[in-house]
Amino acid sequence: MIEKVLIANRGEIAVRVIRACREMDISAVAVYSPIDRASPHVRMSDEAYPLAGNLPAESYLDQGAILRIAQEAGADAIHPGYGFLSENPDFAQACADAGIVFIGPSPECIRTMGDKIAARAMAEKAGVPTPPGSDSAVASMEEARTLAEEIGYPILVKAIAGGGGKGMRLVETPDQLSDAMERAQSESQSAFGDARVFIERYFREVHHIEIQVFADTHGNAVHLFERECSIQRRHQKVLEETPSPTITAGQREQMGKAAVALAKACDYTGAGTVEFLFSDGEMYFIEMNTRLQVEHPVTEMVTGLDLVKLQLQVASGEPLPFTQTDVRQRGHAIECRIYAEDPVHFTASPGDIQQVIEPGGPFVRLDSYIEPNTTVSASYDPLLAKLAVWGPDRRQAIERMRRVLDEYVVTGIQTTIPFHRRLMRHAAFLAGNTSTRFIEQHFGGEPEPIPPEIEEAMLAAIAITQYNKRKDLGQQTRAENHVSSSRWKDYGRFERLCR
Amino acid sequence: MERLRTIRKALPVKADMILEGDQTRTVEVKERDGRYHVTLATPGKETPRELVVDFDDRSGVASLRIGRQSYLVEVAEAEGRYTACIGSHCLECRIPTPRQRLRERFEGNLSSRKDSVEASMPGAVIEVFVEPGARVAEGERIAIVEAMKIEDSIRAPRNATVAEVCVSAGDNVRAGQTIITFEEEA
Repeated sequence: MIEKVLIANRGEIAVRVIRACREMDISAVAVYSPIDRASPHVRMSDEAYPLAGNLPAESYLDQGAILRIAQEAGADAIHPGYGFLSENPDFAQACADAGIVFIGPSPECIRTMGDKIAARAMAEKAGVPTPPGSDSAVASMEEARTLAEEIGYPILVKAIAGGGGKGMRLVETPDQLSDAMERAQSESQSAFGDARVFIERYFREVHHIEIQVFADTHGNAVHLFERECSIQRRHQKVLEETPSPTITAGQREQMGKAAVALAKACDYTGAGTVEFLFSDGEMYFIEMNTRLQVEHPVTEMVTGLDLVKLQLQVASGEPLPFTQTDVRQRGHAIECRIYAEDPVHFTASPGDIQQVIEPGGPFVRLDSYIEPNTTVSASYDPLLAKLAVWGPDRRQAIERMRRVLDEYVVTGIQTTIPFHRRLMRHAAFLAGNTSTRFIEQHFGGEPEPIPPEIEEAMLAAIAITQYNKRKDLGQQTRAENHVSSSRWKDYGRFERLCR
Repeated sequence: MERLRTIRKALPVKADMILEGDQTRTVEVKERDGRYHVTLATPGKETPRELVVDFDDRSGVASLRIGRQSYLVEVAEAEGRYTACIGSHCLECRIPTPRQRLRERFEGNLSSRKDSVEASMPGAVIEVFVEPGARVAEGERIAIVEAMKIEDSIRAPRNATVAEVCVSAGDNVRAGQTIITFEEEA
């Protein structure tokens, strides 16, 4: 039985894991970079240990330091959260070697799924359809050309070690192929230290639908239904919901079965997610994420299960406390990811948070780590919070989310809250017509026209804020230099200010 | 001094607000009886709008009452750039200091063309692709700035020759900081 867990992560996911530990009476050990000293995950933990620096490599990616702290603190397990070390097979192996339970699947499993070609082969073995593409690294330009002709343009050149859209190039016509190959290879080499690439068919209008799976160490594996994650920017999700408004009950069952088959084929343990492309009634395997997903709350809301607690139980060697037929998908859940980004162009907006006013009401869940005066560092991920709601059906969930977003206030930096407010009122979203090109198609950089009275109110608010700031500043400087050297100088400065 | 203070109090504070697309609004704020009298003018256009605003931002978010209508406005400021959001609507503007305004007017007289490229978000410079003297075409990628795992490509606004590269890879930049300046065109 696990009694003490080190959480090798920060932000909202560290808070999420600590909450599960507390409820299970497991002692939680936090680690933190200097800038995260005042973060809630540090306060909520039973013990907290500092890491060297603010860069990821000096903090939450520092395997040696994290393992050392785990051993010194006497932790029996490490929860990696998502990102950072969560899909690093070497770290999982190092934990095992040190006699510490890594909360996740085996290092071999992580390694297989982290290699796109090996993962494709595993999926095919399990009978899960994969997109038309190469089943080994593409070595030469000739090979690439022949393959691309076979598959048919447009195609994607993808890094074998890739993820998150890095080392990926879209090729629409044969003349773009050699340039795309070179770029994908060099980008992949610099980002992952592995230049190998492969080729896959590109689907223009697709849904991104994923299946949550769970497996224990006793050979049981179940799926916990799907999540529709089509609304993305830069190949990263901004909104997730379950059930998917796109697929039928039959397709859901087919996807679920395929995902479980894959989990069994690779001897999976713990929480995992099998991602699919869904296009014209056909599903294709993209990849398996061998960790807890950011968007796990929507699954928790419709199934009533606590996935982090389940992870801890499975890691302790307990069997899953239910079978496939026990799991039900009840109602509808939506999650909005709140990023520190410009809500129109999605550029980064790090800085100091001034005020946070959190929403409330029935069936509302907020996973967040921000508070007034939190400094959002440019070194880490822009995810600030995840806002999730539940409703008996999709329409009511959307209505609730709309209300909740209007209550939620974050000031000091820009966030994607206004984007989500707009999304919740968008006809195409309400109709469930989502695809991975949704933002590009419906939010193509053009902000919606602003009604004149709203614009006036915004301008007035800015003008008054600036006026008050200047007034405060004036009082400060006046208080600081009691006597001015010359009143004429004073008057001159004042004139210049007012002009 | 006492008289000066009286003048200070009575005189309204004027500022230029530069909106997206270089639209300008001149705004004047007066404080009277606990309310703000805001005059909004668009240079060269109609009569200015006069608004009486009941304003309170003690909760950290600006609550405005204009006539019968209430608004909740989230205002953010960074280096003289302001953003305001009401619901799903957001607006960005810049309020230059009197000194900046003077310089802009002066430079504007010299050349109306954009002669530099700035960072659109704060972050670290990952790579700079050009050197002084290089010719760049409109839309060509000049540099990459990264923050929070988000990469932003900085592109040339027009065909030009690079005069100076003001940053190098690894530097941290502010939003609005100059990345590159262009040579004057004949």
